[in-house]
Amino acid sequence: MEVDHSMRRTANAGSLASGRRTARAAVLAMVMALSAAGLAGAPAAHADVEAMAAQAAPDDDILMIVKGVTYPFSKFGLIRRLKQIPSVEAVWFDLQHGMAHIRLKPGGDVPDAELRRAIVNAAYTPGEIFRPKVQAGQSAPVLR
Amino acid sequence: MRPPHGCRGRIRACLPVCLVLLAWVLGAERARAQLTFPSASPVSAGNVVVRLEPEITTFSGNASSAGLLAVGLYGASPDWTVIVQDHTLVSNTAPVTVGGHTANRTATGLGDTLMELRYTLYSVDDVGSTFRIAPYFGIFAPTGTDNANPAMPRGLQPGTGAWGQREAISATWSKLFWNAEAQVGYENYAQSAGYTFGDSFYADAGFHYLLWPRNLEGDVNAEVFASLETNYTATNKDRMIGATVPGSGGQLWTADPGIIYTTPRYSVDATALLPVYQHISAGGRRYAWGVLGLFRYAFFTEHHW
Repeated sequence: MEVDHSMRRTANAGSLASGRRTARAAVLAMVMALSAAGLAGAPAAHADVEAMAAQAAPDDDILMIVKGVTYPFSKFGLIRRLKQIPSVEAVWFDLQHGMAHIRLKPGGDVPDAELRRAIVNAAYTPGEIFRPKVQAGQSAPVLR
Repeated sequence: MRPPHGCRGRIRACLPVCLVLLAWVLGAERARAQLTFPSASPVSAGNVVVRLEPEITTFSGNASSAGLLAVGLYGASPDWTVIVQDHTLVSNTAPVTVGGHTANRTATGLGDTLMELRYTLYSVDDVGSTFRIAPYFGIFAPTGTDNANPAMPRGLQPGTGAWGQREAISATWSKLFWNAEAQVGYENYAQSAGYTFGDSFYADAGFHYLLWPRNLEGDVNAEVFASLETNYTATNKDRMIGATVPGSGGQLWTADPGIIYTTPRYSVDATALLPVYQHISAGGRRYAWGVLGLFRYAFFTEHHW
């Protein structure tokens, strides 16, 4: 599967010294792979994807594809639904890539099922969930 | 409840001058609901959207209609939306002839209320794209004032005084840089005090194009759309005490250029309502133009089905 291959190549490169840099590179690879697979709509320019990856600075952040969001007014219910999850600190949404950027509270976590339920209740369709955090002893980021 | 004989007499006296026009005014008013028609756009469960829509419609011969429509939407579930539309204020003005004397008269008061359910029947979502189909089922409640100015005919009172129903189906295809919407619907009213408004068929379409910003990278929180919508209404003749009301009913087709400013929390819209085609027998009077504003604000509640 193309997504897995891209991520594995990124993870096997071994040139990134810190976990944070590894996570950013993984985000970059994942978004590029999603774009190539047509999941992210219009193909994203390389610089754009780098900017997105740079935004994913804290390793605890979650990126999630949300389908069906097309203009600012439709973001309101989606963001408020995600903010109802107790461990979520902040949410912002990239319309162009259909990407919800979810910042968790320190030490917080949220199951994928709860994220998907929030998106469905917001009347949209959940897509891929990407957690750039590299767990100790884990060689690749987690794509669920 | 039937009107007193005196009232009925006045109505008959001024029929040749204004009833045609007035029924026309009301017909045009009923044709429009939102800017300028309801869509199938998603409403999140627990979301509450409040909308205020001031509107002015003018006709030749110094006739006009002004009103404020208040709309509340509640996302009861991801698929079901409850909608209440209330004509908070309606003011109809027209030249009315009573006893051989013609003068401009105004009927101002509360309008009727429409309670609707919308169900998202079909949806296909992708990144930056959605296509949805949603039928509407609605009931008109005669909450308005149907005798605000006894000198004016039934068709120009702020409220119809009659129960009615409305069925429609909307489709929305929305992308990041444009969206297209269409709707067809039908509404009819029960008889009230011997008067039955003609049932209406309507068809609407709209296209919105993103003007600003052209770059949607990052957390975009405001957009401006150019809007072009169109509304067609065909209304059957009204009937009063079993007889057809002369000049009532007809067809109206409008084109509505407008602009939309939207943020995650609110949106402000304005559109003109310009006649493209009208086929009525209203004694030479014609629909001239209208303007419609819209202010929409979103609230959030945790509660939903």
